Amino acid sequence: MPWSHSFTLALTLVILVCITPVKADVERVNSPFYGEALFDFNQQNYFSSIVQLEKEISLGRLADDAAEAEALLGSLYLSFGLHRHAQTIFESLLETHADEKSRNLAWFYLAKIQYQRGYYELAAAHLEKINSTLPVQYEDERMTLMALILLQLKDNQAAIDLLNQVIGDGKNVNYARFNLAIATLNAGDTSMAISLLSKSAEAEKPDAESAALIDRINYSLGYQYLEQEQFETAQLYFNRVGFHGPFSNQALLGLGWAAFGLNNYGAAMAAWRELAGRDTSDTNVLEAYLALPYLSYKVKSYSNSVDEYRQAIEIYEDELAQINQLLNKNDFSELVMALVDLDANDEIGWRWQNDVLEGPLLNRYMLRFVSSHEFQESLKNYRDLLFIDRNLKKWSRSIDVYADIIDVKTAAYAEFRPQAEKRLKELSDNRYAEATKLMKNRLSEIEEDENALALLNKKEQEQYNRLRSIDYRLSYNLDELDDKLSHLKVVQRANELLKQHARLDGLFRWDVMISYKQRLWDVKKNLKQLEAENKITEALRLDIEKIIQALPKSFDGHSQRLSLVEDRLKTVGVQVSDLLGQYNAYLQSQIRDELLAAKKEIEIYRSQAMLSVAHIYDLNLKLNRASQ
Amino acid sequence: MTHFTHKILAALIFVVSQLIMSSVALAEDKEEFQSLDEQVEILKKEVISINRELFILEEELLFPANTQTFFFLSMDGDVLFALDSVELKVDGKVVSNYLYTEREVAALAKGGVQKLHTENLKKGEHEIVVVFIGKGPNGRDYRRGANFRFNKDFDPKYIELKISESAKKNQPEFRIKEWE
Repeated sequence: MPWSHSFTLALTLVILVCITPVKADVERVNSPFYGEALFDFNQQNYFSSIVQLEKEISLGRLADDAAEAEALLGSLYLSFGLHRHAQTIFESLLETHADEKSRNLAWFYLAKIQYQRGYYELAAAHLEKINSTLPVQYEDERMTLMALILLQLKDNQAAIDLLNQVIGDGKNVNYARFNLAIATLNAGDTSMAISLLSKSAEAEKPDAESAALIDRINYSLGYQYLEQEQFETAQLYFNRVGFHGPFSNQALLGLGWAAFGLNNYGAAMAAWRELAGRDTSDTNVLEAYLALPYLSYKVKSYSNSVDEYRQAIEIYEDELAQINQLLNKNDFSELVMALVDLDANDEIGWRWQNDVLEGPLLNRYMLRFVSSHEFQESLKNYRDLLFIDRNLKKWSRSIDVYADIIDVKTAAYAEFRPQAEKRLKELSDNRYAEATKLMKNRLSEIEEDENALALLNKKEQEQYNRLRSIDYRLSYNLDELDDKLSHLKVVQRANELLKQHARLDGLFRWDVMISYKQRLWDVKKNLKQLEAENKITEALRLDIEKIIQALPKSFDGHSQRLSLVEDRLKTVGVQVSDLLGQYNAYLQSQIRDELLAAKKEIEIYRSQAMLSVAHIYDLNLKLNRASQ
Repeated sequence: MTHFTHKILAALIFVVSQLIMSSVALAEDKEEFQSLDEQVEILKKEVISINRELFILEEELLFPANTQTFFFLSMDGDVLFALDSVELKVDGKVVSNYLYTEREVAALAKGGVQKLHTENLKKGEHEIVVVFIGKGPNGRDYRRGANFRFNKDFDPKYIELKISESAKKNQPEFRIKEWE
């Protein structure tokens, strides 16, 4: 596979997986260490994957997968909220390596994440880097994203113009239209808001998220028409909202008011009764308790109306008591922890989102703000900080273990090094090798001279020496004798002995000569064995030399590095504690504000209910007086 | 519609618009969030750097380069084998007995490579025996062993335990080789 294709595949894979799980082509990795990072990445253990990649890059073990590893690292930085570092990697990689399509997609996803984290100018700048049209499934999303950014940058008209160019009708477009409609509504342009929302009101609902968004648009439109007293149109939109969807309570409340506006009290009562039968943890249900007695009042059923208002007041006071109880505690740490929901084995990453809020009070009062990007990102950061804090504590404990390892190794090496050096010295003694060399030279001479006598063994050497000695002694003595003495018996005996010696000598030499080749072969064989053993000794010497060279001179460097890490851990630990405190305070203040807002709303309901009861009492009093 | 109704309706619309407006964050919240977010980003990078340094130290201390031997497990994506566990013996001694989760098996099938074990081995010849346990075609219990001899010198050694699909036999295949 060409390099650029391989890189593109890796980049596309990781950025797509960051956004939404997709089935990717499986690519054979070149380096097992890159494969190891992918193993973590595929399990969504993003932190482990980042550390693995950084470690292997710094050890130089990812050379064969360098670009893919960098691309993966960039994407993982994004997932871990390090978008500035991701941007640096992408900029250096994309400008030089990737093809146009990959480059544009990378800018798109970078912008998307920056938008989510509230860096609107940066996000806009990256979207503007896209220098050609993206594939159709991304192009609408790109324009929608730009519209959302323009909306945040208060350029509503440009956002509207851009959205009008969007061909598709996906949930992102609907989401953008919705937000834009709210902005235009806020700016006082109701007709534009209605126009924007109407485009999405009849859109399809392919999934739960889209359905919730379309429902939200329909009930928002319903309330817009309700405000304009166009009750029939309002009813139309309210009726489009799913009966069991997350916005069904709002729709039922509005439906009741629309019917009420059309003087269809039966239909209004049906809608509100249905709503009142639902969980009172919803403010819409609480409002239904206010609407129903008003309906009774409207049909002049004053006694029922008073009873229903009293029931409503009881419910409101229960709610207020619960909220006050929470506010009096003045500590929302437990609520924050419930939102964070970090398990012991969890890792981190921006795909995490708390969709299920635990506890009725959380669910009731925090739904309105908990879906905001800032709150979600704060929760993610808080969660990441908790994860980091847990790891820092674990690593701090491991510092002592590493220090012990260094001590043990230092002691072991202190003992081992002198032994190894002594052994090396022994093996470096080259007497054997020199002796072997001499022997080899001598053998060459022997072979050249065919000097069989030079190959005698020890016993033969002794025999040969004895023969030589006898020969010398006999020859010497006989040479010294006068010829006149040759007739002497002893001389004759000596001559006989000399002849006998000559025969023995000849026999000895014959034996030696006929076994010369065998002897030569044996000696050569022994010499080869000797050479082989010398080679083994030399290899052993080299091994020990390498081992000694590889032995650290000391572990001082490791100790210093460990000490540095320990200091850094302490510094970071303090920073993490500080930031955890700040995030906790920030999140708690958000929760407190929401609870106070909810309290204020319920107090208004209660006051209205109480005023209404007083009003009916007054009315009854007046009626009684009039009848008397 | 009476004045009373208008009052209720106005209150109602006020509440609903508050609900709708919640999706647009307030500017001061955003500034506070971004300030904290930037601090967290710097901190996260430092934490990654510390963890990297600790891992490198750990490897240097526990597995010196001249003895380190890595055993990696990889798996083809289309293999007809549901991996349950792998037992690894080095020179007759069981050094790893690993049970796999579904998530890990899926991660392997998507191209991930697991570092099953790291060992310090002396220079010379060594033998490993690997037993792969799982479910084969038709859900049948599957237990296959494979052995491999290799020479270790003074450089790090990478051994791959690979599960792939035999095209001819339509059966899983278990191979051990030095990583190329």
